[in-house]
Amino acid sequence: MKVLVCVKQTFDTEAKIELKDGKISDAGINLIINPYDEVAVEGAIQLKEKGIATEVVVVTAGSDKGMDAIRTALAMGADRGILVKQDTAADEYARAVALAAAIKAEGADLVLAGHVAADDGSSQVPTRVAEILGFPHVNVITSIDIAGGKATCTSEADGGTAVTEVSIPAVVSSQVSWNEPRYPSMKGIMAAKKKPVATVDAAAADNKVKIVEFALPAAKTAGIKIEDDADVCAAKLADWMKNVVKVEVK
Amino acid sequence: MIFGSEPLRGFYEVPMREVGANIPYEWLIYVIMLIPVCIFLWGMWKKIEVWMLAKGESKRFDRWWDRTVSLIVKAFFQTKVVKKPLAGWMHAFLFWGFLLLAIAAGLDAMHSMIKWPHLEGNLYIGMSWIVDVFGFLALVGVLVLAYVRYVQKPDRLNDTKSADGWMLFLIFAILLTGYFIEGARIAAQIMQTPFMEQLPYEKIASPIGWVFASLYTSFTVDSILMYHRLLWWFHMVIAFMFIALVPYTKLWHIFASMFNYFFRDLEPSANRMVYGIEEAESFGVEKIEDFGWKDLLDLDACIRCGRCQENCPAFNTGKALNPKLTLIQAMKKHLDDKTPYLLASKGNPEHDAETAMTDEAAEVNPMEQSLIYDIVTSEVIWDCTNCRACMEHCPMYIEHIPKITEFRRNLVMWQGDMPGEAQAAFTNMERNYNPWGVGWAGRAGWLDERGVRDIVNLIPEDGKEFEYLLYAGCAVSFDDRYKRVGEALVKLLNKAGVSFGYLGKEEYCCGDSARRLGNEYLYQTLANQNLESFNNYGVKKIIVVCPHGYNTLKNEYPQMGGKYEVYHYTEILAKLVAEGKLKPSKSLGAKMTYHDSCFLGRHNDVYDQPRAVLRAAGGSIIEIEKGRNFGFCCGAGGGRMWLEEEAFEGYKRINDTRTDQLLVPNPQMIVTNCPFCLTMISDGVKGAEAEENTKVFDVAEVLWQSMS
Amino acid sequence: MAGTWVFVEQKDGNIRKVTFEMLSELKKGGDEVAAVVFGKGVEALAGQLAQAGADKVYVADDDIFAAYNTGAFVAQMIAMIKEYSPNAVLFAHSFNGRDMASRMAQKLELGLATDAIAADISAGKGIFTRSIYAGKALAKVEVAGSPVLATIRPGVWEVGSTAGAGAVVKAATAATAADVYQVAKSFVATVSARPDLAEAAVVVSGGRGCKGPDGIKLVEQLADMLGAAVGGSRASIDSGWLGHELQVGQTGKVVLPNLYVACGISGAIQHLAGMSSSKFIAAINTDTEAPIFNVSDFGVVADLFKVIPALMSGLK
Repeated sequence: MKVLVCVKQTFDTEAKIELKDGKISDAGINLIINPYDEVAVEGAIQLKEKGIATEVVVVTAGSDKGMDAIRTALAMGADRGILVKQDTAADEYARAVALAAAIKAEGADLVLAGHVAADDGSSQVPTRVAEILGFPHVNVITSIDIAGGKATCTSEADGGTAVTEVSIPAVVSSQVSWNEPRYPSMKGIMAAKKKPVATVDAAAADNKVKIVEFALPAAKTAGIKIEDDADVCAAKLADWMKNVVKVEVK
Repeated sequence: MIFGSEPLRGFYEVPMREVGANIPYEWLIYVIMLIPVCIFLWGMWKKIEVWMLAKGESKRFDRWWDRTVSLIVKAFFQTKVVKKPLAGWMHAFLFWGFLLLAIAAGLDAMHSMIKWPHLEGNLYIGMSWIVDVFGFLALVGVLVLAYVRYVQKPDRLNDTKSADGWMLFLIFAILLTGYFIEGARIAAQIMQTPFMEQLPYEKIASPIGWVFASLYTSFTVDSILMYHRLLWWFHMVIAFMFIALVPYTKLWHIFASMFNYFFRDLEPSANRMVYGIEEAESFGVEKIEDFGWKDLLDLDACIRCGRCQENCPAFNTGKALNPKLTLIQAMKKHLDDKTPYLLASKGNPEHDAETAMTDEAAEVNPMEQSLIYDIVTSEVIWDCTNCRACMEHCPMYIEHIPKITEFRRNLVMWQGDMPGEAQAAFTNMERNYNPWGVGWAGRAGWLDERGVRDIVNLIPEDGKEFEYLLYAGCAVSFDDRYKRVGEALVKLLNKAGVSFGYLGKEEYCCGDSARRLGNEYLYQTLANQNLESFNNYGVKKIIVVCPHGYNTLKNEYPQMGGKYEVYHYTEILAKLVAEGKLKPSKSLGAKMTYHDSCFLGRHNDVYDQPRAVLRAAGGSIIEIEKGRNFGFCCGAGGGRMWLEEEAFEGYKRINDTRTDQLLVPNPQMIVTNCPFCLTMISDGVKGAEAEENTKVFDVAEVLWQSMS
Repeated sequence: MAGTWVFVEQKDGNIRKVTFEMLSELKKGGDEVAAVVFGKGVEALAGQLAQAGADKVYVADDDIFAAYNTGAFVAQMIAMIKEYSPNAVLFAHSFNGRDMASRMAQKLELGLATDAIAADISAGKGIFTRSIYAGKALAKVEVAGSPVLATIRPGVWEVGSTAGAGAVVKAATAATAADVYQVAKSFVATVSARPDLAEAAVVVSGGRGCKGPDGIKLVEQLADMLGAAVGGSRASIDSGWLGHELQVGQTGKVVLPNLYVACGISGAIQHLAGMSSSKFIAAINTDTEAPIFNVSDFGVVADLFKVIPALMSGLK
């Protein structure tokens, strides 16, 4: 069974975000594999170790910097990489079109991806890719069982845990609790250097969503700290929780 | 005379002793001696053969003069051995006694074989006295050592084997029979002396022998002479047994120690450098033969004294790591088991016979055992806090920590097998240049937060000249509690008029945690980043806040070409106080205990300067038993700050154990000099619910308190 | 304009709060607001939806919609969009919502703005504000299409009190069995248990200041009131007051909730490493010097044993 894993390269989650010329600046930012995609890569490798998957291919769409993400996945144990060259400002639609085209050309029995990217938080691409490929999909999985041409997935759905079965080929997106991605050992990094990576151009697609503007959130006002009677403090805290944080009280 | 012997004369006109008197065929001893000597040489060759199996590198052929001095001083004066007074001095007696007796026997042999002149007159009396007395001290020594092992039974000697007893007995027998022989000789001489006044030199020259001679008063001269001969040959047999047994028993330590004293690590405490890591084909050590010969020699040198175990914080809190048993001795046994196979696989036909399985070996093939997983085990490997108590107290200068590091390197860089928390720490250091993983862009944020921005020369922004680089480190930048220590320090330096600068965002984690956990590659990456930064701004002198950073910058960066004058901030403060540039305005009058951190203390021998600073601030330090180089680790070293520590049944965690020790005198303050220690001890104080009465501070904070 | 549709989030007849929030907010605009509900026996929900502001309630009632499955729901929605031509269709940003919206958006080859925290909808386009980079930046995006598609973050709008006519429109079932490609094997509700730490929107944590199981009990009561997960600092876990899996921090779990309430936690760096990225942090601690106050948005220097009960009263 051939497994394709979609990975996205994102800013390090601790990165300080700054704007330059109205755009998010990437100066001095360390780029990492989207943590959710890292889990998908690990999941694919574990399927290979169990003898279920025969080959793990990682695909990413974006700039040349995406090569780092591919190399990391290869160092973890993936077999091959595909870099789809695309403008980093491509939206979810264009991204999905590019990825799906590369996956279709490659052929896949199972497509894995993180269910959301840590930078844009969109949660759309895996589902879109499934639609283009005409595959069934299951999102936000915490475990997967593959047998007899079917994938049985456990997902963190609204209000509970859902077990869903789909036929293979399928697209499955991972929740971060599925597994603990392994640390690429030097051995893996060295082996990765010899693994093949293909570069292809993205299938053409226009953006359907336009960026109007970027902004930084209002600077966090200094925290309030009160030292008073417990009752007074509690009342003020309750107020803040209801009106500022907007908690849901049962 | 070939077939006869010199008779044992009553006395000699000139004080002396005729060698081999009364021993017919005495010359035979020098022929028979060839047997034990050959057995010995064969045994030594087998040892060398094992060391030759080592595939790794050990570069210890430098500094010949220093090494020779090291050998002479440490072997002859037993400097490390006597640090444990009772057993140590007894061993020293044993050693000196044996050494002198061996020299005496050697001189005798020289006379017998190549006719060296006898010792005569006062020289004879003097030398004979020394040898006799020291020989007796050796006898006392071996008896007391037996007492220690079998009556006192200290925990450190928890693996007594029957061979230990037999060796003691052999030594005792050799010494005792020696005195019986001497006593017989002197008794015979006394009985043959016409006048007692002719033999007084012998009373001085052999005081102990003289006493033993009184045992023979009821014997006839002829029977004494017969006993003399019998005992003499018997003594030869067991003494030759001793020589032959040396390479095959714990007696080998006689030579192993000398080799270890000569080849020991002369450099300041540092992890071993890996050169050309980019091109490396393997990382760390996976099989025992992958070590260098020095590490294999270490396994021989271990005489199971247990001083390492005694002081190991892991062992003393119930963990699997026991530097003696589960590290060195486990490795040694594995090497012993594996050696026949290794030698056989080198295509050496005469060794094939040796690979005939012993009963034990029949169950497990050492060639298939994993040194890391089966023999030492990952639990033991990760337990180590790198505190260096083992190496500090080992009388053989065995290098425990480098072996553990090599295992960790293999686990991390080759197998990719490490605790998840270590992985998280690595990822944090890679992406944000600090093990906490807080955004690197905020590294200089503490300056504004603590309101000291205006007194600090933030070099990349302010660009002012500076004499010292203040390497604040990750803790000052990202640990809220430790930001206050950074604040106190810069205020002190500012007050003293010290010219210093700080790199802020252009400072990176020193890499200590990465290196100690075995991720050499990450360490070198971080080190290179720092070196580039330092050189970019022409840094020459550095003041480091954290002892781990201090150790790394001072002892390890030079391995990568970074040569700077590195100081720990307590050294600088001590100097400033002594020079009067920092004058406390009040005496804190606080009763305090001081925690010697491992990396400032044992790794770098900085014990006095912090104490001087604390005293200047008016602190009255109550020295605890486990202080200075006997300090008990806080548990966070060796990268363990980032790992979970399990509390074992019947034991507390390392930091709680240490805190209890520091709380015994009920101090008002516990003072530390390291951010990890401050965290661990503070946690410990909270855990012991002693926060009301005992506060935990860093040295800089204490001094600043006395200035304000 | 041809109306804005709100896809109703409901299960077993319980409508989720986010649907009411969305209906109320859209009601404020001038355009027709319609609730769209798929299910079995869901016509009865029309009343509640009208209360919240729905002018129309489109109902597709069929066995095939008894449980959510992407295939049938998307097929149905597309058919209804073709029939009724709404200007915009909004979903909640939930597991079902984003799942359905993404698949449908791609099928229609349209753009989709997900997890929007603000919306400005006009004819044929919508301008949505999205929180990106884990809340460190905001992006305003324009989605043009027929219809305009977006998913809305729960909790950003308020439930109002303006009702709508709620006229029920029964839609024909367009979905067939051939559209279904997911087989639901089981569903285990987690209503009774607390949410998972790693995913919870609110986390209430107890530390050394809780002094024991009594203090932790207060933490748990507060958590249950807020539908929150319970966490603990190293001290609570070590002392055995909380299970190992609830440890938040350097060597425990890293959490990213909307609100983190630290009770009796000093905020040593090992703990901060696990929760400092929380959107809002509240802290209750008797030590005014505790480092947690450096990162808290609302800090209370008082005894948690008194504050928490009073807080719970105040929240009711």
